[in-house]
Amino acid sequence: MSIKSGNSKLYLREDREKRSDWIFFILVLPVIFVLPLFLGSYSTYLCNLVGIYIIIAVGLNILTGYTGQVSLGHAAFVACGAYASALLVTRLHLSFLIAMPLAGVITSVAGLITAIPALRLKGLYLAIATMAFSFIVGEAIVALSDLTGGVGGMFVPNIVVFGYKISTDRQFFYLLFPLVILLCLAAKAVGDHSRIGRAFFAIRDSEPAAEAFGVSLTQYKILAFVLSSFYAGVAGSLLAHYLGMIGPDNFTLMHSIQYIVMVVVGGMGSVAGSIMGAVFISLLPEGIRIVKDYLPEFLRQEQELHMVIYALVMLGFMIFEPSGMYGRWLRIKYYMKRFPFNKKKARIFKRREIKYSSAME
Amino acid sequence: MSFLEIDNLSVSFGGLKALTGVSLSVGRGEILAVVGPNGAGKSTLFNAVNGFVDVQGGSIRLEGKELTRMAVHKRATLGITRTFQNLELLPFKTALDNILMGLHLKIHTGLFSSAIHFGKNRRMEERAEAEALGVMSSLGIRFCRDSPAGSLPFVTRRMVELARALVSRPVLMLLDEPSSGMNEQETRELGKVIKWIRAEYGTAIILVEHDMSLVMGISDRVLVLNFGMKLSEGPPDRIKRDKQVQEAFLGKSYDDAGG
Amino acid sequence: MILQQVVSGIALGSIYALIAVGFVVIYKATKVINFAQGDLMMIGAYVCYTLITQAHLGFFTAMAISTIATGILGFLLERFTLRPLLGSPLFTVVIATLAISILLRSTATMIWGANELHFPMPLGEQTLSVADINFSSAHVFITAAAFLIVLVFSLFFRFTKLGTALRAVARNQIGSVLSGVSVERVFSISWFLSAGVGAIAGMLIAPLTFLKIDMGNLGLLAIPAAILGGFESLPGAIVGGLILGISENLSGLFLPLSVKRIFPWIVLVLVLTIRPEGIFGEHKKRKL
Repeated sequence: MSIKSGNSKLYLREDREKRSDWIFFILVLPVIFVLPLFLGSYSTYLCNLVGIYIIIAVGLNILTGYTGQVSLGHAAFVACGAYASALLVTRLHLSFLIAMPLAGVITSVAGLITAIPALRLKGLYLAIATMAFSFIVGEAIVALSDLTGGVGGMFVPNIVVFGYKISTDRQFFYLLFPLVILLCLAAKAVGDHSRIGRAFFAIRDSEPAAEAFGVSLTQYKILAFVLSSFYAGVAGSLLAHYLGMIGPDNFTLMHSIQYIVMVVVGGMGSVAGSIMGAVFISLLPEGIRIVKDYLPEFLRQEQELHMVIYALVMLGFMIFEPSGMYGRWLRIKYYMKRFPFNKKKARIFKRREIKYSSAME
Repeated sequence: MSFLEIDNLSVSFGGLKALTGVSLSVGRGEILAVVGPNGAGKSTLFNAVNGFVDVQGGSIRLEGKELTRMAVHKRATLGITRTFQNLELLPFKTALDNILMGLHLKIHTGLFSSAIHFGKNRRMEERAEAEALGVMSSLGIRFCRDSPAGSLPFVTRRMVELARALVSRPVLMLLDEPSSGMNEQETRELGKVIKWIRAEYGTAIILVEHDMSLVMGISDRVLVLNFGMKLSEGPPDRIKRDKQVQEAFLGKSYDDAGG
Repeated sequence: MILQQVVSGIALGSIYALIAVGFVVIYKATKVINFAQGDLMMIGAYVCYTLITQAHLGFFTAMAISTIATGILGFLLERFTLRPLLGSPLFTVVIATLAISILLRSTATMIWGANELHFPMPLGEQTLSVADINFSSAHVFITAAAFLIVLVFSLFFRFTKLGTALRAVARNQIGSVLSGVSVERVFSISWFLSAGVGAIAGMLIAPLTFLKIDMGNLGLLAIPAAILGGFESLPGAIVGGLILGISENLSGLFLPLSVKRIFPWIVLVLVLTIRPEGIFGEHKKRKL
């Protein structure tokens, strides 16, 4: 139980994009776009939810994975975007195409405000403060019931784009996924090769080094919060219009935990990892539903069984695969590459035991 | 007027005085070694120039510009870079990425340009990469461009840090115990590299060092600190003969670690 | 009116303090906030309830058994989920404790169901009135228990060999290892103690709040109290709890109910904004 944060024993390279990635991407792209033609309504619905979660996870990854600032209250930002967009459309009668980015901007402002007390906080205190923030936002939703409908929730109208109503899951899919891809690529570009991305990573790994080479900690931490909450805001807006009904139950601490788990299980600091994590965690309940029928009677309480397995998956990843699915993927790739000669080099990736490294500080 | 001017500098932590009234001037392109027993205030002097510790009294000026109360990241814009005693690299990033971090202030692209990585950002990144690779070649670490910094051997990591500090062509470089963890031969190589840096870039270099052969071999002047005060200052030959310095610590053996 | 609020604030504060002790014990030794603390508390209360209603044990026997059982549960959780994480980043450990929290909560729902249960009052319900101020027996009992537990724990840390080992590990892990203290064992013991104390808190609070699965949320509300008290000090937990409890109850007089509900969190954000290291925490600057 060491104190040093953000320093795993595995020095896996955080891969920059390579040509092979682009080939992979170009191959996957058409698959994504013909996918809904073969899927039923429910599967498309799941895909849409996964897409929204991908946006949230990729955004949270900018804050937590890139910059190393833990947030246990990200659901609050999603809520902010959801209610902002819903209110802009219902009260101000704005078009969705304006309301969505505007919801993102409004949420960014919320992120900016949160960032100010968070700037000086580290580690656990930051985690707790963001958690506190999410409780406060949750209570604010209930208290401002004139606007938000309080505990009962509020109705959000369907999306209308240029007079064209998006009402089926498939239509929503084609609206959502270009956006998902765009936002993922942008996050990846920033992380892979830009001064901004390097500044984020520098803050995560060594604040003194970041400062010494001219990174303003204040400015870049705020930027990370703003970017991350922009993603959350856009996702919140999409979620609100897609679900058609939102209430405080959509934005609880459990949701915040779920978002951070997506990032961690996928592999911190990598966009591909966040995507994997979002897909895995949001499809987990479906998987459980499938295997449930083969389980003994007393284990068939679906909701609870789901939570138990969810918790065990979390624990399992923390203990056995702390670098996440993406880390495992990198290792498999590495293994395949050197297949007959893998033994020697693969040692680098072996988990080195440095117990109590923390006390050295 | 000299290049870096430190006047009557005092730093204390709580009640503990780490530096008392230290004055010092460094010329352009000069190599100055700071030596002294453990706890003499060498690292504190460094951190004061760099801005990591608050200064209670005195002033620091670079080219006549007052630094004393400037934020750390602002000082970097004036061309001050450094290496760290305990290596502050990004362990998961490649050596190349680490060195590119040293060019943070030399790349000027905004958020949107970075997010689409096209046009301006791509050009700038390519130029920066070429620059970084050039420095890596000069320091003989090009082979590790794609290895995560955390997986590199200790000495290579030191060289990556040096490259990171060098790549932005600083006017003043602070090297905090650059030779610690190196064997004799590596230390000799390091000495050559430091001299080459000065010749090539005209950078003024201040180094805190325990290895006397390195100090005597490369520095133009040596500053001896003891108990946070200036004990002596002068060319290496004179310091070597200085009775006071010898008594204070040169004659005695002391360990290489810490500082 | 104000005085009445202060009195019930003291009771509320004692509840916070009682839970906060559990946080402090684990944090002192392991430097981790155990987000499952509130759920261990819930488990303790449920076990006690089952022993009373199913096995027909007396309250105090049931309480003793439940305390030890929950302590052992805490011990096992540390042994099998957190021990393998020794040396991991803090963040990983925090996620793990959140996972434990979810695990305990859903397992408890599987066993006991999601309905609220009526937990019997240990001493019966009596209300004592002095000069128009009502003292309920349950409140008095909780306040006394909180002070007693903090006293016992403080004495334990100060005067027993084990307590000294715990403090040593809290101070300096490497140094303790070098002088022959088993850090692993200390971690296990602090989880045992903290889970036990959590169970006691749960059994004392359950009669007031009903017995329900999400008692853990109440546990989270004690985190601000622990931070107010400096997170490392047992008397600090009492002080933090009382400050929070009293001010929360007084805030109910002047501020809307929705503010009162999240009052501890607001206090927490304010405190951390002004002093990022907590009220009694010391500012540590990283050595270069």
